[in-house]
Amino acid sequence: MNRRSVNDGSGRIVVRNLAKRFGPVEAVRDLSFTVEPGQITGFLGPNGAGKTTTLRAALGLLTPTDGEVTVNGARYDQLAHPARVVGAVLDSNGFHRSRTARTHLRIYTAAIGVPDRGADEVLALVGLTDVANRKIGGFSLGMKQRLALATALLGDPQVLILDEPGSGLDPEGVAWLRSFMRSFAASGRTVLVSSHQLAEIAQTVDQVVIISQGTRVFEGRLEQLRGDNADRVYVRCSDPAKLATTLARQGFTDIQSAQDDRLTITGASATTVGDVALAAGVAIYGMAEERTDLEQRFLALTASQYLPRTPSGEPPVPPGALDQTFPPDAVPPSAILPGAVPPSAIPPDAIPPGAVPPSAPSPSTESPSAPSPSTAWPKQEGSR
Amino acid sequence: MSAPAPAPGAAPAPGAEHDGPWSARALLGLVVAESRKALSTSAWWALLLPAALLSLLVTLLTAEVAGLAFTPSLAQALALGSFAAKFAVVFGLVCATAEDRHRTVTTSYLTSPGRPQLLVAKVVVCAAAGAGYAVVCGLLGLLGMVLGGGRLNGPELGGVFEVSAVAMLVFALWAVLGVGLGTLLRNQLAAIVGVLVYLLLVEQIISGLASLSSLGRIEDYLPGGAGTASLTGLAESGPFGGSFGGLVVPWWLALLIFAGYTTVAVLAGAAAAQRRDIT
Repeated sequence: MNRRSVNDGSGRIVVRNLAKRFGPVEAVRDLSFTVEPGQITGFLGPNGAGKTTTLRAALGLLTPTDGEVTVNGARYDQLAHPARVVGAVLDSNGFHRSRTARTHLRIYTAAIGVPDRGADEVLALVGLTDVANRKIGGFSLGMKQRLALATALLGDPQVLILDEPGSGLDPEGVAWLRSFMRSFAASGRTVLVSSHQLAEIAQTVDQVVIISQGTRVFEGRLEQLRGDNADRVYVRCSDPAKLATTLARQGFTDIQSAQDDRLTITGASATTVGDVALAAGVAIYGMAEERTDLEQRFLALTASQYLPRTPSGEPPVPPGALDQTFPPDAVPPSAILPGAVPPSAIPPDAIPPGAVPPSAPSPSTESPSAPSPSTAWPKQEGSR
Repeated sequence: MSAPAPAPGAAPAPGAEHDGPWSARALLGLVVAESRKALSTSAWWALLLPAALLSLLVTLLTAEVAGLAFTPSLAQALALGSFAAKFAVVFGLVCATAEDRHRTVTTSYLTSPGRPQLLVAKVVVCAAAGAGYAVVCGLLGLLGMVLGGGRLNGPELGGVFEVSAVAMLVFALWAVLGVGLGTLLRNQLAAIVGVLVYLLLVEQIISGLASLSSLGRIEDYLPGGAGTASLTGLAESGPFGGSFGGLVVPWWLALLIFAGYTTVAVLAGAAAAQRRDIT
């Protein structure tokens, strides 16, 4: 094979119909997604969803049962200089305890074929210069994480793969890692970072791939994860027409009028609506805010994984129901609207049936983890 | 912590594309990496020290106590082949299994163009280390003879040097055997204990039983026996040499048999490593 044609230099990771079976366990099945350069892609899923298996298959550490993963158009074992194409942090304990950080790195500068000064450069980059000559056995988990990252960067790779890099890092380290990943991606390179917590990477990633039980359940931009369930505000006010017109002038055009004095504004926060109403001189009698929480969506998508068995053998509770911020018994938005109008009087189109778009695989439609009001003010005076 | 600033230049260095996965440059880099691995832990001297002292002790005692029974070259062959060589195989085992034990195997595979290349580098480094063991142990063995008051005239000294020189090759093969078996077995403790129990006990039982049966003397065809015979067969037998001599095969054939076992071990290790999933 002409090796020159193998590495296309695109920086693209392509997972194609990947399947991996460990004995009776199907860790990954028919998984396909693409990771593009120049951005940070989050790889999300609960523990045991197959993230690490997928990443290790991408790095040639596992032989797939079926399908393949290519980086720059080539399987990892087809790359002549793999460490100069891909840098990976998989394990923060892959060190010999009695070696110093510098010795450890100088083993791999030689293996990769880069000058030895590269070891000191990456140590400076991750802030470990002061402990370069200390034995790794005395390192904290956070220091080992940084040393693992330094090792991954030795070959000045085009693609960076990080498996749960946040664990063991202190808040400062996490913030540093975030800005590092951003600048790495901003230079046109590829970052694929896995996590089992959406919150950990939600601020950082441009694109997310969510897997559950070894298959993909979502691939797209983070905003798309919300689907058509943007934040909504339900408001009862003195002059709905005037408020709607004013809001429309501010750019909030997705407004539905429900009854005589009610509005449903999509894509705005309660604060914004309140401010606009105040400026317009419209009195607000009641307001409820409904936020589609990404975490809820993530939990709903991955709900069927690892259902805990109760001792009685009862059907398990979806993980979404365990979320503490949004108790399952939270009242629907309509119920907290004050006033004499019973909730049933509100036409159905004013109340969303659920936050999940009909197209998505939605275990959440019946689950108590459906969007709940996060904040509600019984009454807010719109004008003085 | 310094500001994040990944060095620019994602493109591979000019000319790098010409380096194939089996290029001399790639292999040399891996050999340097493996030698740094080997030298950065205490295993190499912690095993060399007892091996060298044992060589000295064995030749010293044979020169002192059994000076008449053993020619100097046989004493040297005994010290190196039967005693010090065990440390060379353990060194090979430690080198190969340390990757799994310390979980450095992931990074080592990620930074190598392929798993066979990494094994080749380990074989080269451990072979060199084994030869080095033979040199040090051979010199200490010679010292032991001198200290024990051994008579070392010209021809006898020549025999000692002959044994010492071949020992470099035999020790290299012992270390490489350790690399192959270590790659195959992965578990450090199990590999070391298993190999030593086989060499010191199981093989003796097998050859003992065989000598009682119709098979006769087969010890020179077994791995440990072949390794030992390739040195003792070279040595000039003394008056009591019969207990060591009387070999079934000449020393060079024993060496070839031993090299065959080593090759099989390395190939088996390579095959196992190639299909292994690193989870």
